[in-house]
Amino acid sequence: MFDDNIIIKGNRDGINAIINMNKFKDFDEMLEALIKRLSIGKVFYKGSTLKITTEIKYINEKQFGKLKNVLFEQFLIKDCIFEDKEEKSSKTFSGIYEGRTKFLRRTVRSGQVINYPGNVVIIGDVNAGSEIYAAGNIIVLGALRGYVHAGFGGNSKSIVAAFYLQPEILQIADIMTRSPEDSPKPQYPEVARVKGDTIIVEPYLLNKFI
Amino acid sequence: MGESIVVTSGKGGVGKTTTTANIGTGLAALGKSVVVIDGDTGLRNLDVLMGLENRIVFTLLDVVENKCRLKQALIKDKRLPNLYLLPTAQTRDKDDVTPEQMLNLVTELKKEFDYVIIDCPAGIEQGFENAIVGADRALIVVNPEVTSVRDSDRVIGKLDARGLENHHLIVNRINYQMTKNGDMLDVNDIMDSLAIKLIGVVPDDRTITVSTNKGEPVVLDNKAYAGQAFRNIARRITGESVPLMDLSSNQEGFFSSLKKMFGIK
Repeated sequence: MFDDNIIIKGNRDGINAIINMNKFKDFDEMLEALIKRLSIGKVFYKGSTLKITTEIKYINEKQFGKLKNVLFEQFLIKDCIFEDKEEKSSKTFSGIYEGRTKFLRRTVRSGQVINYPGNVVIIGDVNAGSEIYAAGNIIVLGALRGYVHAGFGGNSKSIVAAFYLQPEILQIADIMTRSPEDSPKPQYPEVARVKGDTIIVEPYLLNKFI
Repeated sequence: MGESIVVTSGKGGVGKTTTTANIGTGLAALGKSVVVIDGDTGLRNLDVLMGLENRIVFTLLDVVENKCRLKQALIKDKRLPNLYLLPTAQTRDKDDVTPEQMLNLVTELKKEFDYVIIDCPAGIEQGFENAIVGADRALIVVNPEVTSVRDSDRVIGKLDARGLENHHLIVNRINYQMTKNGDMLDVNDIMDSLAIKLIGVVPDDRTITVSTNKGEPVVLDNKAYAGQAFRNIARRITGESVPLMDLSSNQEGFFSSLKKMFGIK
């Protein structure tokens, strides 16, 4: 089976490991997989310079230390360079009418972060304390109570739709808004989109609900 | 091979230890062989709830550090011969145990007992990781408060990420009168936001405080309303189907409903 969570390739700069953090539950799982991967050609990596390309924001100071420790001590790697993957891929996503989409058939709970360079559809709830970043639309077939950012990367035509739209913070492209605090909470499905330079929220089908 | 169950919640003070003690005792009273493990190293309390605090010689730390045999650290319960407690150390902290050690320990205990029940500490740090690593299923204790529900949600997410997807919810300390007046979250509100299966509802009951201080799990008290709830949960864990208690029978006053339940004039 080809596995694209960790890709190791050689180019003119040396050996490059591209790690997709989104495919792993956490840092420790990634580290385990990386060790397993590198163990195959252990002798080969000895004394070489390894460039690691990954989403650096997912790794903290302590974890960097741990990673370097493993690389230097277990694999005797001479030097290790980190490069942020995001820098390259910050192109505006344009597939909001037809394009790359991630489907999640579960509830996104507090503390969980979903990050996807495309549209995200969640069949379940998005609970308070969770964060969703999508380059395209975010559609929730359930209650949306977390932090959502659609059009991450700058597509202001993206929308956020939910059966029950009560996010902590809702952001589309670079416009951000909060749920109004004391207004009545509508029990029908709603869509948030950008109109002019503000975010407006309206029912799925205007004529049906108002 | 037995089953290991972790009792967790995220938030502190919701009744994890009380639940562990009562479900452990309840299962033992049903004739199962049970061991309850205190996972709260440094802040142990399970021994007090079971009334076994004077009998601790060796602890979980001594076992994982090979200072004694596992059998030596297990304390036999005062009341039930098939119930054991594995206490933890009070003078150490949670980082002194590794997940590998806990996993080995729980695997070892599962060979000997029908049920291994692990009391998880509050929080989501090392102690939590240690407590859940060997568990086959999880019981999440939640109080009808927004703070507790939110923390439980986080914990459920953590459990899912660790591949522990067999989890059930226990709603603890519910007060029927207050939920009826809308002053407290009711079971449906909680179920709605957490979206997991319910295994039992335990009413708020002052006999719990008494039983905690006396070191006698309330599950053995046939008159206590909360005891009945814990007995039902224990039976549900064994796979029996028991209908939920009707909490509304509690409305005309706690004692009168108790008397009615047991036919006392």
